[in-house]
Amino acid sequence: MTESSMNTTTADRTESDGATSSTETTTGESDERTNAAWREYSFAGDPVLSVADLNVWYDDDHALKDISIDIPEKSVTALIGPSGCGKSTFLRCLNRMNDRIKSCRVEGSVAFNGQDIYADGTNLVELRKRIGMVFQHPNPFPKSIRDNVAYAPRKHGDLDRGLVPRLLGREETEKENELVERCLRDAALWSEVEGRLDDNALGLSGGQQQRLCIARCLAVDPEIILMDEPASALDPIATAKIEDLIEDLAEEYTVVIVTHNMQQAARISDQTAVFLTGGELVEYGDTDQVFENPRSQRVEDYITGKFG
Amino acid sequence: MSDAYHSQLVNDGGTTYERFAMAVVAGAFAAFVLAAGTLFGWVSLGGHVGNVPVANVVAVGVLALGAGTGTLGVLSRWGGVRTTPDRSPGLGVGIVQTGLWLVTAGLIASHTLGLGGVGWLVAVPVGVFVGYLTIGTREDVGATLPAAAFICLVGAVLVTGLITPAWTWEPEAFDATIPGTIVIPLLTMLSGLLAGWAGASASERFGTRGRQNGAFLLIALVVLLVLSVLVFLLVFVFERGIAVVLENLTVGAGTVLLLLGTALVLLVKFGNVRPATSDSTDKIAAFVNLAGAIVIALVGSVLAYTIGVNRAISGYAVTIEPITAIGAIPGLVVGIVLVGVLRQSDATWVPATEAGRRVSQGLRLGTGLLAGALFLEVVTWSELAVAGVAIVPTLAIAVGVIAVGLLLVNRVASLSDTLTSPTWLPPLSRTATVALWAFLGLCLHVAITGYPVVLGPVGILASGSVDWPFVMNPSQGLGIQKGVMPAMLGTIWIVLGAVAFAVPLAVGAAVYLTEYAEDSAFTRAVDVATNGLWSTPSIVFGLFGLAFLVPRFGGNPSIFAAQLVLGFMLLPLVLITSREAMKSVPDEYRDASAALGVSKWDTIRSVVIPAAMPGVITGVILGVGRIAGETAPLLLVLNGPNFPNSAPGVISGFTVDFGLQPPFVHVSNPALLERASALPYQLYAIITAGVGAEESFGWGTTLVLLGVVLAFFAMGIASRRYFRRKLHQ
Repeated sequence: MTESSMNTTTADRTESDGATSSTETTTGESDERTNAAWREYSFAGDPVLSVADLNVWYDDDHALKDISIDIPEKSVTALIGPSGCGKSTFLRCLNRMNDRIKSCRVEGSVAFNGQDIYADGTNLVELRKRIGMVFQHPNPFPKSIRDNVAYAPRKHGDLDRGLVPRLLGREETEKENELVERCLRDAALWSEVEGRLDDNALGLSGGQQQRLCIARCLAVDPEIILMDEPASALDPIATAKIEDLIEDLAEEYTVVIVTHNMQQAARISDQTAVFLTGGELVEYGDTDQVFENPRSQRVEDYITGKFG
Repeated sequence: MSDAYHSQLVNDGGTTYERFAMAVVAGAFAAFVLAAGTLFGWVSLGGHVGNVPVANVVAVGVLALGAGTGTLGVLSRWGGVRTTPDRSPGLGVGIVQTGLWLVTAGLIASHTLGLGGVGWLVAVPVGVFVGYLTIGTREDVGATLPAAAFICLVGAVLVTGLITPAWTWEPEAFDATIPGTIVIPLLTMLSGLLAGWAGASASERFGTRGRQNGAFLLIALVVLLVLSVLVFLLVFVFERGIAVVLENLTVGAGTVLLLLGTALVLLVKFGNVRPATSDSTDKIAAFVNLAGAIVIALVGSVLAYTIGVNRAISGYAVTIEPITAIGAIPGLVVGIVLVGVLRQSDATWVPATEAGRRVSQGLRLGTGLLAGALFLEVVTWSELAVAGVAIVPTLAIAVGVIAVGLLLVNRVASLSDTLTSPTWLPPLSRTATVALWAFLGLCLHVAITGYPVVLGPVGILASGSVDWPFVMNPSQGLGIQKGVMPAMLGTIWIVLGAVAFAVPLAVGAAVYLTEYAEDSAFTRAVDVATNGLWSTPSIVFGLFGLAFLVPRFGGNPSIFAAQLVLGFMLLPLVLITSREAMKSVPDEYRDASAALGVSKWDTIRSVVIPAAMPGVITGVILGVGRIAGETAPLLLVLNGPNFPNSAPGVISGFTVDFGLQPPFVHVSNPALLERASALPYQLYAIITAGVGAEESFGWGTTLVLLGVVLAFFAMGIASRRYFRRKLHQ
């Protein structure tokens, strides 16, 4: 069988499956959507993030429906699902980046170490310092590598710069040098940029830029790092480096990563949450269990490539 | 047909047909350039080449061009040359030919044949017929033959002497006389465009590539025309103004040498002077730069010779005196430029050893002391001396000598194989920078105190190294002494004031509209209003200033009112360009900053504004070009004497009084509230005075005005470059 004909048959099957599954969901909606047992995941210790009954609308579009999920600390949690299933929206709810979108409305609660971040009077600056974020496309500032890493700590006043150096704008304090070096080392970028910290960050390759963005995020010393498909714009070698980095980071930080790539999720994550079309969280559990023995038929179809 | 496509895949380069087509293109180009030269007055149609009048040469040339263009089409269609034409040249070419022949036939019928308005009725079928023929035939015929027929017609008319340089045409429709000296170049230019387009098309054997080549040539010729208009304007003003501007200019040879040396350094540092290692247009630029460097070096050696034999050179009303000492102001300018150049190669020097650290500290201490002493001098505006010994020159010379000494040691050590340079030795860039700072300090000292610092033949003079009467003196009225100094300073102060007033306001408004205000009816209304404000006639701004501002600021027209009025004019453009620049800053930067917990204002200040800075500066450059030459509002709100005999004392006019009542400090500047003159204002006065002999004064003023605008322009470009480099390098 040639490759093209194989593709055709797969596509055909997907189409017909889609048709049947949609009829099934209309008839047997209750058991597909309400089986809470599929989303149960027990782990030792308290969750660092505890989401309860989260609903999100973009104007009238109900993007996320009744999401409840507990995320354990110092581990990698992967969010997978087809395009448009709301996994990025969910991720952006966790540090309230959705506040920046005018049409977005959020209901429900997200507890970070027991405190609801959607409560009135939440300090967004403090929240985002503790829950950092890495975006899909590498987005370093058009500044030097050093300025990129030290940007947020300088703004937060974590680096005491003397009056005279500040006036001259040139001298970096010892503390800043240490911070920049530590963050770049943690992001596995130090060896590649050592000695050219004053070069513009836009001169780096895509993979290096993404690791710089991770270093920039580490510089504010967050507890949780949210990653929105951090490797989707990168080549396989750069992707492998980012994946290694994520596994290392999970020793000190809690990582929540959105990915399109199921192999990536299987390789690096400890637990996996599967979102499916319509903004539902269908299954959540240990990564091995979700990939090898999914409890939901739809999730099995999605993972084996029959759907989505 | 398939053979033709095979041969097109790999172009064997240069069949006779293609070479012939290229010759037609070259001829068309020559005709175009010649015609442009005639229009600008560089070539006279009345002149002679050998014994033949230029007009006849042009006529025969156009005829030959037409014949060549026609031959290209005929050879391609019937001569067995293999080309790849399309079935038709297309509707566009058809419409152009229709229009061309309609006008030609109409003019011939109505004027030459004397049919009057009826002639145009005859012309319509002719045009339509030619257009139909053009579209209906194969591309190689349609693209060449109608054009060739037109060019041949032009050539025939010129050869037979129907239109000569002495011929004139008075159309009834409007009251004007169009001479042959205008018509002949215009017709030649049109013929050149047509023949060039057809020839370029033929040289790539018609078809898609041919059309691309033709379009490229047309665009290139039009761009050439636009550029030559600009160059012509500059050259025209320069030619007429330079003599009066340079009249009686006297410069010391040392100062000229210093300026030339700086130019050479900049040329070698930033320009490409290696033709051997560059290609295409870079190669030409490299040759030009190299030639410039050689000319500078030659002029420099001539100057060194005049100093050696102690003789003045004069020519073209300029005198170069054999003075080796240099002027303080040129020294300051050169020093600042060179410090800027050195900063780019100035890697931060972190000494590894204890001795090195001590040397570094010593250098820093020396420059620090020098800076402190200079600061005191600037504040007191007088010389700082202890027991008769001036502090600044002593310090500056000491620091300079040490730095130059270290520099020499470094050079010697690096030249020799056996010596290794000591570890405490600072790098060249550091010592050179320190030496330059010492030089700058010395220049500033001389400029402030007015006491020259001279050691033997070399030194720094406060005055006398440059004497430029036209630029440095006021005019004593028409016919007595020409000078533009008060007006020039007036223009500079007004423009600086307007920029200082308008740019912060405009950028602030742009920040609010782009970052804070939601896109709403309000912001759209503001957009419409700013666009409208930018198109408002300047005299309206002037009248507003006269009626509203002048009564509120001293009651008489003043520099301050002019600054505000020109600032109002500058506001909308800077606002529009700043907004566009801020809108084009990617949202990713804002997201990234927000995700790091950085507040909105910090994000705007540290990310958005720096990224938008080049766009903001572009707006300022465009706006300054407009307001610096503005005359109408100045007539109303500046309205000083036409030829003031003193410059506005804006710096010395500041008075600071201290009092016991709040706000305790009173700063006032009566000079800002006085009437003054400005370059365009003075130019207007000179022209409207109607004294014929003063025309050269007017041209000189124009040239200085152009120079001032170009200087602002250069500053804008330099700062934009600086911000761009910060963003992208």
